[in-house]
Amino acid sequence: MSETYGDTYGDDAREHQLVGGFLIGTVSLVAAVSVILSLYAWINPPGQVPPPPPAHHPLTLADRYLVIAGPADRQLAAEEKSFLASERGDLIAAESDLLAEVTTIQSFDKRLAAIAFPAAITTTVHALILDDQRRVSLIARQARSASLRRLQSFDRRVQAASAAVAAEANLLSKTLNAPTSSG
Amino acid sequence: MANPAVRARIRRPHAREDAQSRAARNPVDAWMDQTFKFGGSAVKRKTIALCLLGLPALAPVFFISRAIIELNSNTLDNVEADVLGTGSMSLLILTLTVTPMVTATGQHWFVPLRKWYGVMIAVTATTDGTLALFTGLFAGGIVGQVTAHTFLIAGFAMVMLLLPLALISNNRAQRWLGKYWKRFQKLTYTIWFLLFVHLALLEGLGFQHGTNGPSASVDGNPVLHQRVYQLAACSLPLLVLRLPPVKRWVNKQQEEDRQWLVNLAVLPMAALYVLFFAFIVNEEIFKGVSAFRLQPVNG
Repeated sequence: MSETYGDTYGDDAREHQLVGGFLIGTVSLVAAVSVILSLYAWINPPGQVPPPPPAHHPLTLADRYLVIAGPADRQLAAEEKSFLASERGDLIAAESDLLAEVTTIQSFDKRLAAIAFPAAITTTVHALILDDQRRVSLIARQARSASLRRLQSFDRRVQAASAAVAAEANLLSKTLNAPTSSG
Repeated sequence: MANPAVRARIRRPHAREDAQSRAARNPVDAWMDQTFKFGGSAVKRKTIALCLLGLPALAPVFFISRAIIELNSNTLDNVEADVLGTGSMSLLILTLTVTPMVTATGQHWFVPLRKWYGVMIAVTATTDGTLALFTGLFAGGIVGQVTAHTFLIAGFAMVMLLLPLALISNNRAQRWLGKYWKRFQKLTYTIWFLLFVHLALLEGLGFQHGTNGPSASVDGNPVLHQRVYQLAACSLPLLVLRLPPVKRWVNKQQEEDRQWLVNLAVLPMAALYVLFFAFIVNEEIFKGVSAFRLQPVNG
């Protein structure tokens, strides 16, 4: 009888030992994995992982647009100022200023065309480049003028072409959510 | 009555004998019981160790004391709940750590810390609750500060449970309550559960709140400063080592001189506990020092 009791008690004790060992072993394993994950979270905190740069995000495109539009605007403004001073009495200097304007505008158009805009914006960009090419063609003809009077006769048409370019540039700036630039 | 010899065998040893036998059994307890000369008097090693381990329990109240004395509303409004709340949480974890430590190590010299930490939780949490009544952001006066949000109700319930536990922590109350004293003390487990509810309602279960909650001003780690995660990670060994089958398994290994196996099993849980508890202490010190300098760092 006592042997049976002892066996039963022994079995119960062994069972408890097994349950206890299984429990602590399992939880230790979970704890070990948690320690590894916690250390990983410590070294690479989720909040500090920089988000991948969006390829076609309007703000990024705006930045890329402004990087080329800003310097081109400033250079074109300086060349126009120089042209306005020289067109009254120095034909060669005026022609040189006009050719410089052509180079600046063409360079801007080339760099603008290299930016991969989304389809919705491409139409505006193409319209801007087309207007710019019209202006370039007009300025190139103006630069070939044989006299100052002939050269000055282009001014109104060039101004109209520039206004068309400015309108397209403003539209593009609004679409890109960027500060207005004259293109 | 029929067989006094049998009764003598099954009689539980007297508490003092029990302590002596434990001390004799565990070499660390025996070492801690040894005395040494300190300022002309004999002092037990464990007295010094207990004082050193007990002193940090005063830190949360110390950190906020200057703001209370000077009635600095900027500090009280901004970091009072963080400093005293985090302090109470860390003290509760420390209180609950004593019993599993006894189970895992077989040592008993640090058991008096349980009572000290327990009393200090009550002091810290009551100070937190009292100040929150006057510095809270909710409308409706004192009642509004307690009932405006479910996490506040859980926090208030914790304070209400801690107060009687602190009051009956003395020997006279223990004698007076007899067998009911231990049942009353088990209310600590209810407080443990309520702390989970309080923190889950306060911070949610994800770590997205970590960036604008506790971590932003400390070190920017939203996971390791998430308070629910901290409490869960620290609670894991405290809960597992309280389970009867686990306690029996540990006792069996210790009886068979396989303490190394116990240490091996407990090691990952202890590592998880230490890792997260370090972040609790880190935040407590960071915000506590800012509160003491009256230059509160919130968020």
